[in-house]
Amino acid sequence: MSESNIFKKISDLNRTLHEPSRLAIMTVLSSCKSADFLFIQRVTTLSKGNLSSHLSRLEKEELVKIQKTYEGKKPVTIISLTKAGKKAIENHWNQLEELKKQSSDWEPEFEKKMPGPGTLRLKT
Amino acid sequence: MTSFTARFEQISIITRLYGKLLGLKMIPVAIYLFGIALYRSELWYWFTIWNPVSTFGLLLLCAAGYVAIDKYYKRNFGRVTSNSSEHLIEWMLPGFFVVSLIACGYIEFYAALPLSLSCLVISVLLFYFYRENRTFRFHYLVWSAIVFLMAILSIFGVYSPSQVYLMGPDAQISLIVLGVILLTAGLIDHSKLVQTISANTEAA
Repeated sequence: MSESNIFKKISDLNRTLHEPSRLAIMTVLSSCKSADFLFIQRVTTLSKGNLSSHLSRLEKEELVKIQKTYEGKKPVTIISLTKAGKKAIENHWNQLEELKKQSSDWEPEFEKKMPGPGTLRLKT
Repeated sequence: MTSFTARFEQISIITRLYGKLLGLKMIPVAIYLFGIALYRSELWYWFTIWNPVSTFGLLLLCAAGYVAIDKYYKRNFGRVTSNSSEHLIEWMLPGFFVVSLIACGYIEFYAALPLSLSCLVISVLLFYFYRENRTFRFHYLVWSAIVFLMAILSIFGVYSPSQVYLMGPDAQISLIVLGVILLTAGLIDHSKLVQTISANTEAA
C-alpha cells in the first residue's frame, strides 16, 4: 500500500461522521432501533446544546430521523438512523477497520529511501 | 486507534445491553419470590392466614414497584428500543422460559424426580445471559453454575429434591436462592450500567 493511497483513504473519510461526538451518536443509534435524547446524552456525555447541534447537523445530512412526541405532558425526542445513515456508519467503520489494518504494516516513504545503519559516509 | 475504538465499542455494548442492565427492576421480583418462600415455610403467620389476598396484594405491590423503577430508569437514563430481531427475541424468550419453567415444575413435582428440572431450565437461561456478553455479564456464569449444582445435588442426598422443586409445599430453597440470585445479579447489572456511564463522563 503506497503512502499516497493511505492518505487518500483518510481524506475520503466522511467528515460529518468522523467528528468524535457525531461518531459516538451514530454508534449508539447503529446499536439499536431508536434511542431518546436523554440516553444519547448520558452515553455520549455531551451537553444538551452540543447534542442538539450535532443532531441537527446529522438530520440535515439525512443520516438521522428525529421524532418529537409527548408522554403525558412530558416531551420525548426519539432519534433513529435513516437507511442512508445505517449505510454510512457501516461504511465508515469498515473504512476505519481497513485503515487500521493497512497502517499497521505501513512504512513511511522517507524511511524507505533512507540508507540502513552503517551505510552513511561522512564527506571529509 | 485502540483506545479510540474501545470507547465506541463500549458505547455500542451498553446500548445493545441497556434493557438487560436495568437491574433494579429485579428487586420487586426477588421480593415476590421471598414472600412466596416465607408463605410456604409458614414463617410469615399473617401472610398464611390471609393467603389468596396477601399473595395477590404482594403481587400488586411488586408490580407497582416494578413500574416505579421503570419510570426511574426512563427519567434518569433514557430509553432505547432494540433492533427488530433482538426485540423479537426479547419478547419470545421470557414467554418460552415461563412456559418451560411451569411445564418442568409440574413434571418434576408429579413424577417426583430425584433432581430439579426447573432449576436446570433456569441454569440454561442464566448461561444464555452470560453468552450475550462474556466480559460484561461474567457473573451470570457463576449464577448458572450455582443453580446447576442446586438442581443436581439432591441426587446425592444433600437435601430432599422436593425442596428444590418449583412447586409443592416444601419448595422454599429454590425460591430463596433464585430470589438472592436475581437480587445480586440485578444490583451488579445496575452498578455496571452506572459505572460505564460515569466512566464515559470522566473520559469526556
